[in-house]
Amino acid sequence: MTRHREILVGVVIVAGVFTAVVGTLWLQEVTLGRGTREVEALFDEVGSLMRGNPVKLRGVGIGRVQSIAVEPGGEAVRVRMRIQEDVELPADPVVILAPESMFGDWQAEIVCRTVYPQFDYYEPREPEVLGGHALPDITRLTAAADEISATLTVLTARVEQAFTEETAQNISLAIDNIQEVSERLRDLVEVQAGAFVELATEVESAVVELGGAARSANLAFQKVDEILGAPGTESLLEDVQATVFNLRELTQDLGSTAQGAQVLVMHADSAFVRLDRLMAQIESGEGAFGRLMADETLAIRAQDALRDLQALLEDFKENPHRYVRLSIF
Amino acid sequence: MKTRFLLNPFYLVGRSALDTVAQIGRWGGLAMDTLRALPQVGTWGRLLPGQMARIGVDSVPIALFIAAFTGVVMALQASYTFTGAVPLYFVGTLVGKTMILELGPVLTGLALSGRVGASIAAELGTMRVTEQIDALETMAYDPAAYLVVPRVLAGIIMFPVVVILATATGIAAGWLTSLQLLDMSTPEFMKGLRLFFLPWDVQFAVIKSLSFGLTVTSIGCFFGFTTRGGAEGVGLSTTRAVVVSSMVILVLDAFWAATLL
Repeated sequence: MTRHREILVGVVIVAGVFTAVVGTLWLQEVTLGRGTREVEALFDEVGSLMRGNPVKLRGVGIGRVQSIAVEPGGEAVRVRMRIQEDVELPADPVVILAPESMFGDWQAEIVCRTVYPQFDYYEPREPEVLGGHALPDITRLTAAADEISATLTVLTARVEQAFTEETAQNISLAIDNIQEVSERLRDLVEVQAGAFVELATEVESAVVELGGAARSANLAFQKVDEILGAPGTESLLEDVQATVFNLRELTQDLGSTAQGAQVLVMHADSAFVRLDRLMAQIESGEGAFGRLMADETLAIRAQDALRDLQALLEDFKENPHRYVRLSIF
Repeated sequence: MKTRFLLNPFYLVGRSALDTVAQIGRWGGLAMDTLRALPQVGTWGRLLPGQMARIGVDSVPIALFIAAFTGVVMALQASYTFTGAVPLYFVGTLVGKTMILELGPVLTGLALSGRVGASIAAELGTMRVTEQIDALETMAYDPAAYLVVPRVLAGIIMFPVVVILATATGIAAGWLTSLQLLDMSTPEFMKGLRLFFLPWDVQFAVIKSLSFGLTVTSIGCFFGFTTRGGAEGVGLSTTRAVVVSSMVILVLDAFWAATLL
């Protein structure tokens, strides 16, 4: 074993160790000489996040995910991230886990809570731990898209089933009808607008006339006030008062007269009621008059009887002895 | 006669099973001897650098050659597969992940099992059939401390080093291929390379290569130590050492993937 061989062995070993250490640090993007600090965040779940995934702030890589562990009790997942020490986090920071691309690589992005207020962030009890939210995995989105696609397929099938040529014609007809109705409505609106203008004009003139009337009334009231304020008005008012008193007495007299007339009317009413009842009996054939009026045979017989009676009277006049015999003895 | 013919398959299976168990037992015995020889630093310490040079340094060129072309092929095949569907920066991801986790350690392990395992088995097998090992025992030298420990320790130390260098070479070759042949930029390739990189990946590769080093060297030593016959026995031991160490490397590869990932 020569010295040269021993040196060669040493060089190979050093080269191997150096390659492993430096390569690992380089691939991890570890920057020696720059300080780092640890940030923790809690999540309901972390999707496909893995140890070593990048941590970003405003799209710039500032560190990597150090560890992922389910909390005792299993209610949350704690993610530890190592980030550059000199990076200042935004106010009220939260961590959003999301796919970095379509191929399963994820990232943790530190943002201000107000940037995405719609997300349901985990609220940690420890003040120094950040809240976080994981966006749905691409597989979940794909599943949702599949579901939507299936629904659309069903919908399309139903539309195809419902949308026949006849339906199209009906829709076309309906559109034509709607167009026609729209035109009519437009005409109607135009007419109504004209009428409304006329009405407004008339209202305006009426308002003007009312204004004139109000002015006239105002003048009349002024004159009344003047009259009322003029001398001699008091005697005039006394005369009017006396006249009103006379009118009141006259009214009372007329009232008593009216009461008498009312009694008369009531008697007349009862007489008319009786007359109506009598007429009703006659019309219904009750009584002699009624039967006479209602029964035509009876009338004819009565007529015949009258005729016989007349003949009898004539015969009595002509031949009184036949009927009356006077004998004194 | 007919009964013996019918029972022949069972006999073969039973014989093979017993031989395998016996081999494992003998390998266990050698492993125990090796562990017992570890305190004899004075014996194996001065031999270790030479073995490290033979097993490690001399294997670097072939390991880098294999890794470089593997990286080139990985980049080209990845771009061929990803065209139009997946962003091209995933070439970096595929090359990096595959080289670090799988191809770097396994291809290097397989290559070194052929080169190192065969060399050790042939060397020790020749020493066995020429009774040099017996002579060592006669002179009160512990053959395990003198022959096995330096080789196994050299394998354990140098395999990870060679694997790391090979992996870095494969990634660099993939990066150059991406730049020159795939119209990719360095930031694109680096983005893909860093995308899913974890330090654990490197640790995993080191653990695998340690186990491969132990496997290749110990199996080579075992088959060399158990060589019987003349030159034919040496050849048979060499072949067996390569075949068995290659198989064990693949089994260990699956084992570590199942247990550590």
